Amino acid sequence: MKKIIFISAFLMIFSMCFSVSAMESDGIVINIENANVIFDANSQWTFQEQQVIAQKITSEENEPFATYGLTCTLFGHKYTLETVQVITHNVYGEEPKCLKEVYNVSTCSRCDYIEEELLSTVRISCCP
Amino acid sequence: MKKDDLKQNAKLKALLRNQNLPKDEVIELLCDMIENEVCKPESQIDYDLISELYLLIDELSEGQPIVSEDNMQRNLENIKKQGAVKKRRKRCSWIRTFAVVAASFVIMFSGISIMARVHGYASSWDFILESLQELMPGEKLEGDGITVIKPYASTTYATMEVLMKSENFDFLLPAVLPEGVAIETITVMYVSNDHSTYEVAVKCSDMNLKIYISTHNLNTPETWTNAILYQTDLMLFYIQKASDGTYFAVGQYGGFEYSFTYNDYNELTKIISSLKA
Repeated sequence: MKKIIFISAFLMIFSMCFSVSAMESDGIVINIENANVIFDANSQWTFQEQQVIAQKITSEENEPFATYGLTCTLFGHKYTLETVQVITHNVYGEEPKCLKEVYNVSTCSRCDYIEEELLSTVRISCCP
Repeated sequence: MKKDDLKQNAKLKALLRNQNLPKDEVIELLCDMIENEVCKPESQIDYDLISELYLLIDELSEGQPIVSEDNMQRNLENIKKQGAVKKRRKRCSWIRTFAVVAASFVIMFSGISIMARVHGYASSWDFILESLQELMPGEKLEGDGITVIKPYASTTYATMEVLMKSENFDFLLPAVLPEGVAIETITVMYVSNDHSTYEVAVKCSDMNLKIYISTHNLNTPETWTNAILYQTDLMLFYIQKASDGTYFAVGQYGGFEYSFTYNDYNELTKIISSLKA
Protein backbone atom coordinates (compact mmCIF):
# COMPACT_ATOMS: atom_id res chain seq x y z
CA MET A 1 0.00 0.00 0.00
CA LYS A 2 2.79 2.41 0.98
CA LYS A 3 4.66 1.52 -2.19
CA ILE A 4 1.61 2.33 -4.32
CA ILE A 5 1.07 5.68 -2.58
CA PHE A 6 4.75 6.58 -2.91
CA ILE A 7 4.90 5.79 -6.62
CA SER A 8 1.60 7.60 -7.31
CA ALA A 9 2.76 10.74 -5.50
CA PHE A 10 6.13 10.60 -7.24
CA LEU A 11 4.52 10.36 -10.66
CA MET A 12 2.00 13.13 -9.92
CA ILE A 13 4.70 15.57 -8.82
CA PHE A 14 6.88 15.04 -11.88
CA SER A 15 4.18 14.41 -14.46
CA MET A 16 4.11 18.14 -15.40
CA CYS A 17 7.66 17.79 -16.72
CA PHE A 18 6.77 14.96 -19.02
CA SER A 19 5.42 14.96 -22.49
CA VAL A 20 5.05 11.75 -24.38
CA SER A 21 5.17 11.14 -28.06
CA ALA A 22 5.08 7.88 -29.90
CA MET A 23 7.52 7.47 -32.76
CA GLU A 24 6.10 6.46 -36.11
CA SER A 25 8.08 3.30 -36.60
CA ASP A 26 9.14 2.04 -33.16
CA GLY A 27 9.94 3.15 -29.64
CA ILE A 28 8.23 5.13 -26.94
CA VAL A 29 9.83 8.50 -26.27
CA ILE A 30 9.60 10.34 -22.97
CA ASN A 31 10.94 13.89 -22.99
CA ILE A 32 12.54 15.24 -19.84
CA GLU A 33 13.94 18.76 -20.14
CA ASN A 34 16.58 18.57 -22.89
CA ALA A 35 16.67 14.77 -23.07
CA ASN A 36 14.69 12.14 -24.94
CA VAL A 37 14.40 8.75 -23.23
CA ILE A 38 13.58 6.06 -25.78
CA PHE A 39 12.05 2.71 -24.87
CA ASP A 40 11.54 -0.24 -27.18
CA ALA A 41 8.09 -0.35 -28.79
CA ASN A 42 7.57 -3.81 -27.31
CA SER A 43 8.75 -2.85 -23.86
CA GLN A 44 7.45 -4.98 -21.00
CA TRP A 45 7.22 -1.98 -18.70
CA THR A 46 4.02 -0.04 -18.28
CA PHE A 47 3.89 3.64 -19.10
CA GLN A 48 4.08 4.54 -15.42
CA GLU A 49 7.14 2.35 -14.96
CA GLN A 50 8.78 3.91 -18.00
CA GLN A 51 8.26 7.36 -16.53
CA VAL A 52 9.90 6.34 -13.27
CA ILE A 53 12.80 4.77 -15.15
CA ALA A 54 13.19 7.84 -17.37
CA GLN A 55 13.32 10.09 -14.32
CA LYS A 56 15.86 7.84 -12.62
CA ILE A 57 18.17 7.63 -15.65
CA THR A 58 18.20 11.36 -16.31
CA SER A 59 18.70 12.30 -12.68
CA GLU A 60 22.14 12.43 -11.13
CA GLU A 61 21.15 9.78 -8.59
CA ASN A 62 23.54 6.86 -9.06
CA GLU A 63 22.28 4.54 -6.36
CA PRO A 64 19.69 1.97 -7.50
CA PHE A 65 16.16 2.47 -6.19
CA ALA A 66 15.42 -0.43 -3.91
CA THR A 67 12.84 -1.21 -1.29
CA TYR A 68 13.34 -4.87 -0.51
CA GLY A 69 10.23 -6.87 0.23
CA LEU A 70 10.49 -10.11 2.17
CA THR A 71 10.16 -12.17 -1.02
CA CYS A 72 13.01 -10.28 -2.70
CA THR A 73 15.13 -10.55 0.45
CA LEU A 74 14.70 -14.31 0.57
CA PHE A 75 14.68 -15.20 -3.10
CA GLY A 76 16.26 -12.22 -4.85
CA HIS A 77 14.72 -9.88 -7.39
CA LYS A 78 12.53 -10.91 -10.29
CA TYR A 79 14.32 -8.98 -13.03
CA THR A 80 13.04 -7.35 -16.18
CA LEU A 81 15.98 -6.31 -18.33
CA GLU A 82 15.74 -3.99 -21.34
CA THR A 83 17.85 -1.54 -23.29
CA VAL A 84 16.98 2.15 -23.04
CA GLN A 85 18.47 5.00 -25.06
CA VAL A 86 18.84 8.58 -23.87
CA ILE A 87 19.57 11.44 -26.25
CA THR A 88 20.68 14.60 -24.51
CA HIS A 89 20.73 17.63 -26.74
CA ASN A 90 23.40 20.34 -27.00
CA VAL A 91 25.83 18.74 -24.59
CA TYR A 92 28.90 19.92 -26.53
CA GLY A 93 29.72 23.33 -27.90
CA GLU A 94 31.05 21.95 -31.18
CA GLU A 95 29.68 19.45 -33.68
CA PRO A 96 28.43 16.83 -33.06
CA LYS A 97 26.61 18.53 -30.22
CA CYS A 98 24.23 15.89 -28.90
CA LEU A 99 24.99 12.76 -26.90
CA LYS A 100 23.26 9.40 -27.23
CA GLU A 101 23.69 7.01 -24.31
CA VAL A 102 22.62 3.38 -24.25
CA TYR A 103 21.71 1.82 -20.92
CA ASN A 104 20.90 -1.67 -19.75
CA VAL A 105 18.08 -1.16 -17.25
CA SER A 106 17.03 -3.75 -14.69
CA THR A 107 13.84 -3.54 -12.69
CA CYS A 108 12.16 -5.90 -10.27
CA SER A 109 8.50 -6.73 -10.79
CA ARG A 110 8.07 -7.32 -7.03
CA CYS A 111 9.66 -4.17 -5.59
CA ASP A 112 10.95 -0.72 -6.55
CA TYR A 113 14.41 -1.91 -7.58
CA ILE A 114 15.77 -0.04 -10.62
CA GLU A 115 19.38 -0.12 -11.77
CA GLU A 116 20.90 1.18 -14.96
CA GLU A 117 24.23 0.22 -16.53
CA LEU A 118 25.78 2.48 -19.15
CA LEU A 119 26.81 0.38 -22.16
CA SER A 120 28.12 2.97 -24.58
CA THR A 121 27.73 6.50 -25.84
CA VAL A 122 28.00 8.18 -29.19
CA ARG A 123 27.89 11.81 -30.16
CA ILE A 124 25.32 12.52 -32.82
CA SER A 125 24.35 15.38 -35.06
CA CYS A 126 20.63 15.84 -34.51
CA CYS A 127 20.53 19.50 -33.51
CA PRO A 128 21.74 22.38 -35.69
CA MET B 1 -23.27 -79.81 8.17
CA LYS B 2 -21.94 -83.41 8.09
CA LYS B 3 -23.73 -86.32 9.75
CA ASP B 4 -20.85 -86.83 12.19
CA ASP B 5 -20.92 -83.18 13.15
CA LEU B 6 -24.68 -83.33 13.77
CA LYS B 7 -24.17 -86.29 16.01
CA GLN B 8 -21.37 -84.50 17.78
CA ASN B 9 -23.52 -81.45 18.43
CA ALA B 10 -26.34 -83.51 19.84
CA LYS B 11 -23.86 -85.23 22.10
CA LEU B 12 -22.52 -81.92 23.16
CA LYS B 13 -25.96 -80.63 24.01
CA ALA B 14 -26.73 -83.74 26.08
CA LEU B 15 -23.38 -83.53 27.82
CA LEU B 16 -23.89 -79.94 28.75
CA ARG B 17 -27.37 -80.64 30.08
CA ASN B 18 -26.11 -83.44 32.19
CA GLN B 19 -23.10 -81.62 33.54
CA ASN B 20 -24.98 -79.58 36.13
CA LEU B 21 -22.62 -76.74 35.50
CA PRO B 22 -23.81 -73.23 36.28
CA LYS B 23 -25.27 -71.53 33.25
CA ASP B 24 -22.55 -68.86 33.18
CA GLU B 25 -19.82 -71.47 33.16
CA VAL B 26 -21.46 -73.36 30.36
CA ILE B 27 -21.80 -70.20 28.32
CA GLU B 28 -18.16 -69.40 29.00
CA LEU B 29 -17.21 -72.91 27.89
CA LEU B 30 -19.17 -72.53 24.68
CA CYS B 31 -17.50 -69.18 23.99
CA ASP B 32 -14.11 -70.80 24.44
CA MET B 33 -15.12 -73.51 21.98
CA ILE B 34 -16.16 -70.86 19.45
CA GLU B 35 -12.90 -69.04 19.93
CA ASN B 36 -10.89 -72.23 19.43
CA GLU B 37 -12.78 -72.96 16.24
CA VAL B 38 -12.26 -69.42 14.87
CA CYS B 39 -8.51 -69.59 15.56
CA LYS B 40 -8.12 -72.55 13.21
CA PRO B 41 -6.91 -72.04 9.62
CA GLU B 42 -9.79 -70.83 7.47
CA SER B 43 -10.07 -74.06 5.51
CA GLN B 44 -10.56 -76.05 8.74
CA ILE B 45 -13.14 -73.81 10.42
CA ASP B 46 -16.49 -75.51 10.88
CA TYR B 47 -18.94 -72.62 10.52
CA ASP B 48 -21.93 -74.83 11.17
CA LEU B 49 -20.47 -75.81 14.51
CA ILE B 50 -19.95 -72.18 15.36
CA SER B 51 -23.55 -71.30 14.52
CA GLU B 52 -24.76 -74.28 16.57
CA LEU B 53 -22.69 -73.11 19.51
CA TYR B 54 -24.16 -69.61 19.18
CA LEU B 55 -27.64 -71.07 19.17
CA LEU B 56 -26.83 -72.99 22.30
CA ILE B 57 -25.52 -69.87 23.97
CA ASP B 58 -28.65 -68.05 22.95
CA GLU B 59 -30.78 -70.84 24.31
CA LEU B 60 -28.92 -70.90 27.59
CA SER B 61 -28.94 -67.18 28.02
CA GLU B 62 -32.65 -67.17 27.16
CA GLY B 63 -32.26 -64.27 24.82
CA GLN B 64 -30.44 -62.19 27.38
CA PRO B 65 -27.20 -60.67 26.09
CA ILE B 66 -24.06 -62.24 27.55
CA VAL B 67 -22.56 -58.86 28.15
CA SER B 68 -24.88 -56.45 29.90
CA GLU B 69 -26.10 -53.35 28.13
CA ASP B 70 -24.25 -51.09 30.59
CA ASN B 71 -21.00 -52.95 30.10
CA MET B 72 -21.32 -52.73 26.35
CA GLN B 73 -22.07 -49.01 26.46
CA ARG B 74 -19.13 -48.42 28.81
CA ASN B 75 -16.80 -50.41 26.54
CA LEU B 76 -17.98 -48.53 23.44
CA GLU B 77 -17.33 -45.19 25.08
CA ASN B 78 -13.86 -46.28 26.16
CA ILE B 79 -13.06 -47.34 22.64
CA LYS B 80 -14.31 -44.03 21.26
CA LYS B 81 -12.26 -42.06 23.78
CA GLN B 82 -9.13 -44.00 22.96
CA GLY B 83 -9.65 -43.43 19.24
CA ALA B 84 -10.24 -39.70 19.74
CA VAL B 85 -7.11 -39.26 21.86
CA LYS B 86 -5.01 -41.12 19.31
CA LYS B 87 -6.39 -38.98 16.47
CA ARG B 88 -5.76 -35.72 18.35
CA ARG B 89 -2.24 -36.79 19.25
CA LYS B 90 -1.53 -37.75 15.64
CA ARG B 91 -2.89 -34.43 14.26
CA CYS B 92 -1.07 -32.26 16.81
CA SER B 93 2.14 -34.10 16.23
CA TRP B 94 1.90 -33.56 12.47
CA ILE B 95 1.17 -29.84 12.83
CA ARG B 96 4.02 -29.40 15.29
CA THR B 97 6.48 -31.13 12.97
CA PHE B 98 5.36 -29.05 10.01
CA ALA B 99 5.67 -25.82 12.03
CA VAL B 100 9.18 -26.71 13.17
CA VAL B 101 10.31 -27.59 9.63
CA ALA B 102 8.75 -24.42 8.15
CA ALA B 103 10.32 -22.22 10.82
CA SER B 104 13.71 -23.85 10.22
CA PHE B 105 13.47 -23.15 6.51
CA VAL B 106 12.54 -19.50 7.06
CA ILE B 107 15.40 -19.02 9.51
CA MET B 108 17.82 -20.77 7.18
CA PHE B 109 16.79 -18.70 4.16
CA SER B 110 16.94 -15.50 6.15
CA GLY B 111 20.46 -16.33 7.22
CA ILE B 112 21.52 -17.17 3.68
CA SER B 113 19.90 -13.99 2.35
CA ILE B 114 21.73 -11.85 4.90
CA MET B 115 25.02 -13.52 3.99
CA ALA B 116 24.27 -13.02 0.28
CA ARG B 117 23.61 -9.29 0.86
CA VAL B 118 26.76 -8.89 2.91
CA HIS B 119 28.80 -10.43 0.10
CA GLY B 120 27.10 -8.28 -2.52
CA TYR B 121 24.99 -10.90 -4.24
CA ALA B 122 21.61 -9.83 -5.65
CA SER B 123 20.10 -13.26 -5.13
CA SER B 124 20.46 -15.89 -2.42
CA TRP B 125 20.52 -18.59 -5.09
CA ASP B 126 23.56 -17.00 -6.78
CA PHE B 127 25.34 -17.01 -3.43
CA ILE B 128 24.46 -20.65 -2.78
CA LEU B 129 25.47 -21.77 -6.26
CA GLU B 130 28.80 -19.97 -6.12
CA SER B 131 29.51 -21.26 -2.65
CA LEU B 132 28.78 -24.81 -3.81
CA GLN B 133 31.00 -24.35 -6.83
CA GLU B 134 33.85 -23.30 -4.58
CA LEU B 135 33.42 -26.42 -2.49
CA MET B 136 33.34 -28.77 -5.44
CA PRO B 137 36.57 -30.00 -6.97
CA GLY B 138 37.35 -29.37 -10.61
CA GLU B 139 37.23 -26.30 -12.80
CA LYS B 140 35.06 -23.32 -11.90
CA LEU B 141 32.52 -22.12 -14.41
CA GLU B 142 33.95 -19.18 -16.27
CA GLY B 143 32.18 -15.91 -15.47
CA ASP B 144 34.07 -13.97 -18.14
CA GLY B 145 33.53 -14.04 -21.86
CA ILE B 146 31.71 -11.69 -24.18
CA THR B 147 27.94 -11.36 -24.01
CA VAL B 148 25.82 -10.54 -27.02
CA ILE B 149 22.58 -8.89 -25.96
CA LYS B 150 19.65 -8.73 -28.35
CA PRO B 151 16.07 -7.77 -27.50
CA TYR B 152 14.85 -10.37 -24.96
CA ALA B 153 17.82 -12.74 -25.47
CA SER B 154 21.48 -12.83 -24.58
CA THR B 155 24.32 -15.29 -25.22
CA THR B 156 27.79 -15.40 -23.71
CA TYR B 157 30.76 -16.59 -25.77
CA ALA B 158 34.17 -17.59 -24.50
CA THR B 159 36.14 -15.77 -27.20
CA MET B 160 35.60 -13.14 -29.87
CA GLU B 161 36.37 -15.68 -32.59
CA VAL B 162 33.61 -18.00 -31.47
CA LEU B 163 31.25 -15.04 -31.13
CA MET B 164 31.85 -13.71 -34.62
CA LYS B 165 31.51 -17.18 -36.11
CA SER B 166 28.27 -17.91 -34.30
CA GLU B 167 26.59 -14.53 -34.67
CA ASN B 168 27.74 -13.93 -38.25
CA PHE B 169 27.97 -10.17 -37.77
CA ASP B 170 28.78 -8.10 -40.85
CA PHE B 171 30.39 -5.21 -39.01
CA LEU B 172 34.03 -4.82 -38.03
CA LEU B 173 35.50 -4.87 -34.54
CA PRO B 174 38.92 -3.65 -33.40
CA ALA B 175 41.60 -6.30 -33.07
CA VAL B 176 43.74 -4.09 -30.86
CA LEU B 177 42.59 -2.56 -27.58
CA PRO B 178 44.51 -0.67 -24.89
CA GLU B 179 46.32 -2.89 -22.43
CA GLY B 180 44.02 -4.48 -19.90
CA VAL B 181 40.90 -3.46 -21.79
CA ALA B 182 38.48 -6.03 -23.14
CA ILE B 183 35.10 -6.02 -24.82
CA GLU B 184 32.47 -7.17 -22.32
CA THR B 185 29.11 -6.88 -24.07
CA ILE B 186 27.81 -6.26 -27.56
CA THR B 187 24.23 -4.96 -27.50
CA VAL B 188 22.24 -5.03 -30.72
CA MET B 189 19.29 -2.64 -30.98
CA TYR B 190 17.00 -2.97 -33.97
CA VAL B 191 15.72 0.31 -35.35
CA SER B 192 13.50 -1.08 -38.10
CA ASN B 193 10.93 -3.86 -37.78
CA ASP B 194 12.65 -5.95 -40.46
CA HIS B 195 15.95 -5.72 -38.49
CA SER B 196 17.79 -4.32 -41.50
CA THR B 197 18.54 -1.11 -39.62
CA TYR B 198 20.22 -1.54 -36.29
CA GLU B 199 22.74 -0.05 -33.91
CA VAL B 200 25.38 -1.79 -31.84
CA ALA B 201 26.64 -0.55 -28.49
CA VAL B 202 29.95 -2.15 -27.50
CA LYS B 203 30.77 -2.01 -23.78
CA CYS B 204 34.41 -2.21 -22.81
CA SER B 205 35.93 -2.93 -19.44
CA ASP B 206 37.38 0.58 -19.51
CA MET B 207 34.45 2.99 -19.70
CA ASN B 208 36.71 5.66 -21.19
CA LEU B 209 36.59 3.66 -24.43
CA LYS B 210 33.23 3.77 -26.13
CA ILE B 211 32.48 1.97 -29.39
CA TYR B 212 29.26 2.45 -31.36
CA ILE B 213 28.35 0.95 -34.72
CA SER B 214 25.32 1.82 -36.82
CA THR B 215 23.86 0.73 -40.15
CA HIS B 216 22.62 4.27 -40.71
CA ASN B 217 24.58 7.49 -40.44
CA LEU B 218 24.27 9.27 -37.12
CA ASN B 219 26.74 11.97 -38.07
CA THR B 220 27.84 14.13 -40.98
CA PRO B 221 31.55 14.46 -40.14
CA GLU B 222 32.27 16.21 -43.42
CA THR B 223 30.58 19.30 -41.97
CA TRP B 224 32.70 19.40 -38.81
CA THR B 225 35.07 22.26 -38.39
CA ASN B 226 38.55 21.63 -36.98
CA ALA B 227 38.26 17.85 -37.44
CA ILE B 228 41.47 15.81 -37.74
CA LEU B 229 41.47 13.46 -40.73
CA TYR B 230 43.00 10.02 -40.13
CA GLN B 231 43.24 7.47 -42.95
CA THR B 232 43.34 3.75 -42.08
CA ASP B 233 43.61 0.81 -44.47
CA LEU B 234 39.86 0.59 -44.73
CA MET B 235 38.37 4.03 -44.21
CA LEU B 236 38.82 7.69 -43.51
CA PHE B 237 38.17 8.78 -39.94
CA TYR B 238 37.18 12.25 -38.81
CA ILE B 239 38.47 12.89 -35.29
CA GLN B 240 37.05 15.69 -33.15
CA LYS B 241 38.56 16.80 -29.88
CA ALA B 242 35.98 17.68 -27.24
CA SER B 243 36.25 20.32 -24.55
CA ASP B 244 36.46 17.54 -21.90
CA GLY B 245 39.69 16.27 -23.46
CA THR B 246 38.19 13.19 -25.11
CA TYR B 247 38.59 12.34 -28.77
CA PHE B 248 35.65 11.29 -30.91
CA ALA B 249 36.36 9.45 -34.19
CA VAL B 250 33.82 8.64 -36.91
CA GLY B 251 34.37 6.56 -40.04
CA GLN B 252 32.08 4.97 -42.60
CA TYR B 253 32.73 1.68 -44.41
CA GLY B 254 30.76 -1.18 -45.92
CA GLY B 255 27.35 0.24 -44.97
CA PHE B 256 28.29 0.87 -41.36
CA GLU B 257 29.24 3.97 -39.39
CA TYR B 258 31.91 3.38 -36.75
CA SER B 259 32.20 5.75 -33.79
CA PHE B 260 34.94 5.65 -31.16
CA THR B 261 35.48 7.79 -28.08
CA TYR B 262 38.69 7.65 -26.05
CA ASN B 263 40.76 9.97 -23.92
CA ASP B 264 44.11 9.14 -25.58
CA TYR B 265 44.64 10.15 -29.22
CA ASN B 266 47.50 7.74 -29.96
CA GLU B 267 45.69 4.76 -28.47
CA LEU B 268 42.56 5.79 -30.37
CA THR B 269 44.41 5.73 -33.69
CA LYS B 270 45.78 2.25 -32.90
CA ILE B 271 42.29 1.02 -32.14
CA ILE B 272 40.65 2.37 -35.29
CA SER B 273 43.56 1.15 -37.43
CA SER B 274 43.02 -2.41 -36.19
CA LEU B 275 39.41 -2.68 -37.36
CA LYS B 276 38.84 -5.96 -39.12
CA ALA B 277 36.17 -8.56 -39.74
